[in-house]
Amino acid sequence: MIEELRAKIKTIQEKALQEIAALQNLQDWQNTKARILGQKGSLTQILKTLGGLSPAERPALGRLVNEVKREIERRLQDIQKTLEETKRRQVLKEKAVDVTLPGLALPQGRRHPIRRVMEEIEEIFLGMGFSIFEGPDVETDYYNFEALNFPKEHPARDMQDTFYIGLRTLRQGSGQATDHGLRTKEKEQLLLRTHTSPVQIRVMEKQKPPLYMIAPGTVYRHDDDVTHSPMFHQVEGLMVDTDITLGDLKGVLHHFCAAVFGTDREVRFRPSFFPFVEPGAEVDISCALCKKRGCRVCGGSGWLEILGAGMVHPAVFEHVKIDPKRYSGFAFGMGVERIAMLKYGIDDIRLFYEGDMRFLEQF
Amino acid sequence: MRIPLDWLKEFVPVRWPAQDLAHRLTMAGLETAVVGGDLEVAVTPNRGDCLSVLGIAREVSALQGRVLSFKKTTAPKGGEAIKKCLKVQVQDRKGCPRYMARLIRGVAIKPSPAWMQKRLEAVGIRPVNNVVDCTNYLLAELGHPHHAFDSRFLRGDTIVVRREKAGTKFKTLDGETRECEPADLFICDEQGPVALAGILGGANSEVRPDTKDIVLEAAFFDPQRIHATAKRLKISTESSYRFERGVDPNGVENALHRVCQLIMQTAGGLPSRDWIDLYPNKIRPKQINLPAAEVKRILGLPIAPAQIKKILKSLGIAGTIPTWRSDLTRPIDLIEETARIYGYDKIPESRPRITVGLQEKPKGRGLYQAAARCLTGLGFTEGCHLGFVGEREVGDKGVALSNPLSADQTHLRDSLVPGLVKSALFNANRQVQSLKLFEWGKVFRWENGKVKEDRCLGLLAFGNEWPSQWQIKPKPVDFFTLKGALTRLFQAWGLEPFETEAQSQGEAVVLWQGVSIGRIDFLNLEVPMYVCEISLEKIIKNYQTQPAIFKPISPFPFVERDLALVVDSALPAQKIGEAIRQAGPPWLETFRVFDLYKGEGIEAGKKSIAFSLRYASKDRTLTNEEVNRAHEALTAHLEKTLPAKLR
Repeated sequence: MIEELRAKIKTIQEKALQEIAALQNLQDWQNTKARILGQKGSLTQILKTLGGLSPAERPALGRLVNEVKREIERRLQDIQKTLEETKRRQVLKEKAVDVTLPGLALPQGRRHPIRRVMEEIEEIFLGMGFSIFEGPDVETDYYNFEALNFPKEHPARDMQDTFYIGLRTLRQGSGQATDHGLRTKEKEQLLLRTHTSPVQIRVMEKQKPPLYMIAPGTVYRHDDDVTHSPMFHQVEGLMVDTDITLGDLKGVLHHFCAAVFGTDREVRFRPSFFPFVEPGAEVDISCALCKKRGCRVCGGSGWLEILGAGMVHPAVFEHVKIDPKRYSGFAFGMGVERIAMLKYGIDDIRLFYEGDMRFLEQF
Repeated sequence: MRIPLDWLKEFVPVRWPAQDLAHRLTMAGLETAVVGGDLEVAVTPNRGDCLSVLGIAREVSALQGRVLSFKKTTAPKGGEAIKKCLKVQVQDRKGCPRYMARLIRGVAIKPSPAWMQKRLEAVGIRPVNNVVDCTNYLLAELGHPHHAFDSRFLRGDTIVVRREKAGTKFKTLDGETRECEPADLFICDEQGPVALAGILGGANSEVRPDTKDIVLEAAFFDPQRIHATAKRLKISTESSYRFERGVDPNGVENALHRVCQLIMQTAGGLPSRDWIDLYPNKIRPKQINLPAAEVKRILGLPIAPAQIKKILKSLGIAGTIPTWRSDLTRPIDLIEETARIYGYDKIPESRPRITVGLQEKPKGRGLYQAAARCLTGLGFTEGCHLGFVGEREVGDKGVALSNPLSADQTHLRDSLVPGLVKSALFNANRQVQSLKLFEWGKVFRWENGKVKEDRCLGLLAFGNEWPSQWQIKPKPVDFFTLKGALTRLFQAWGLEPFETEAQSQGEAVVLWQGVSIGRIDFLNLEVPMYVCEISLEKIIKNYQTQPAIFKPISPFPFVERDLALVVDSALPAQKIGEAIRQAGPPWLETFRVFDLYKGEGIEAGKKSIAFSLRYASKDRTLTNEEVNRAHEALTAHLEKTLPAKLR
């Protein structure tokens, strides 16, 4: 009886191992496992018959059956891994894509290069502790010129060709005109600001020093060619406090130039004239293209003009009732287009405003 | 201005090669380049004194550390007494603080000598004849304009400097007839104007080939008056350019003698024994006190008083300010003079110490930045267009320019749409098939006698929705493209949603907080496109950067039910939505439209609109039964009230 059982177990074992070795897929594996180890499986059946044995015979046979069971289980486990791996590969193979096809094309708009550069400039000055202020595009003669120490009938005003606002509007079709209030005083004459410097007057009228501010915005000049647009953008800056010096002006603006154009560019300051500052300065950076040897871009000088600056003129302080003996300060202004043109190598200012996608998509 | 080097060297020894000299002048505030061996100097408008060889020589001398020594011309001797043949009256003394005249008889008009012609051509002045060339030569050399009249054509023997009646017509020697205003200053003879003072001579008295006797004029005119007239008449002559920047009132006499000498050299003739000089209120050199402490306070660098004194002295400023430097009126002007000769490059850079405070930023800036991020993410590219439009592109309140550049740029824009449309068409004409644009900018309108500036946002789309690609079928953009973008933008801003209300076909008004803030339109142009424009003023004004308040996350699941209704075609989805919100249970969380259908199977004049409703309670798990009950009650209510039919 025992021997018979032993042989039977042996047969089951051999048969099972054979079947397992021959397994090709996970479905067959399931079936085979059930056939051998399941409730009605061959080995399970054998175990049930052990009950009929004597207590002396039982342990040995029990051990044997368990050993066989463990072995089968081990084998099943091993082959399961292999089969799963095969299956995974097969699925992958079926789902295979051409990985060289382009990915999903999601839409992405572009920022305008002027806005991008403007924001970059703003961030640099915010980082140095400056505030940002804005002002109107339509200004009066007082804020645009007079308070900024542009004397009346002085040729300095001709440096900034001005658009003036007409005080009448013709009604379409009817030919009727609407008057918008006559302004007889010259200081109330409406014009399009030629620089964002009026903002410094407007801010200084309301706030007293210390004052660290920039004024970004749109400005207008009666001018139209490859390097001049009738509308362009400026960032004007102002720093007023006790003991602000020309040395400070140099330090702060050098800092700025390094931030925008890189630390490898040289910066030079030379005297110049703007009515609202004195001493006045023009700030140049060394030409990156020719390394100061002189080329087409820098007009042969080796230097590129990028900022106008200077110490706030006492006459300006007097206009806004700030004591020029107690406070001093510097102001500066830059054309955003000019900086963008230098930064990106753009040679025609009109490209900025046409909205040509072949241009805009490059930024 | 061109300065020939050899001419310059007649006034000052030059220590440096041309390139070096140009660099030093540039670093002293006179931007200079070397062109063809000569200097090309860009003179800023405050430096009228530098508009001559003499003026540049003074600068060069100062840069070399010593004041220029300048030899004055001795007055050439002459024959008859001038009072016998010429009188001068200055009626407008403010306009003409100094007037000098001298007569030269018996000149022979011919071309000037080659050396003079060469120099004039080098500075860009066309040679005319010896007398005119002499006056121009002197203008270039000393910066003093002169005028020569043919005395034959002066009617009577008195020259009068005065204003003329408005509307007076006067033919200048360039052949143009000018109409004058009362502020203009004239040189007149006994019968009328013979020259537009300081600007241009008259055709009636100019020097001709057969001229024999000339009256030479040298003067100092009020710069503002010259500028006003020249600017209004749009004339800029070598003479007006210098007078409006200020010539040296005390240099007039020497200049007259020098020009007289030159004319005698090149055209012969005998001058009058004496000359007329009407200069009743002599302009005297002013004094400016400059404390050394001020220099340090402004420059940040202490410069020894002795050195400041030396620098100023080299510029001719020793105690008093020379009258050729009318630009120097206050201590700060002397600080600049000191700094520019000392060298800006020698002033060390420093970093100011600042008082820490909260930085201010414009209220709309955050909204703009959020909009730019959101819209570029949605595929909209940012545009920036010129703010000018033509008359037909603005409404009744349009702001006109009084001096437009061109006929299509006569007004300030009162809408962003024309700029966006122009951009769109520009691209469409260059094979761009799909485009989405946005612009953030100001528009302008007259309002109660003031120009009102409104910040606006404009959107435009044409063509297809997303980049054409192999996986996704193209979908044309439509009204909902822009409405969707705007919806997303309002979410990005954290604002309560806007509403849209139909106007006429395809046009909608955008309402926010019950007020119209803009519109979405379809434009049936050569390329059909959708545009949207909203005014941002109300939004910016009411915008508060409030953080989002956290709501606890519900641990209970939601249940979704669909609801397809057949309703009147004209019934707006918003009305149905309002009805659902009103009649639904309090635990109706959200709902959305997921389908819209018209056509086969749906009665004409009706549409099928399908909503997906999400029920969720914050305090319990909803049972199927209660959801069904509520959903059915809602459906029945809608059927009755809208009215609608369940599809």
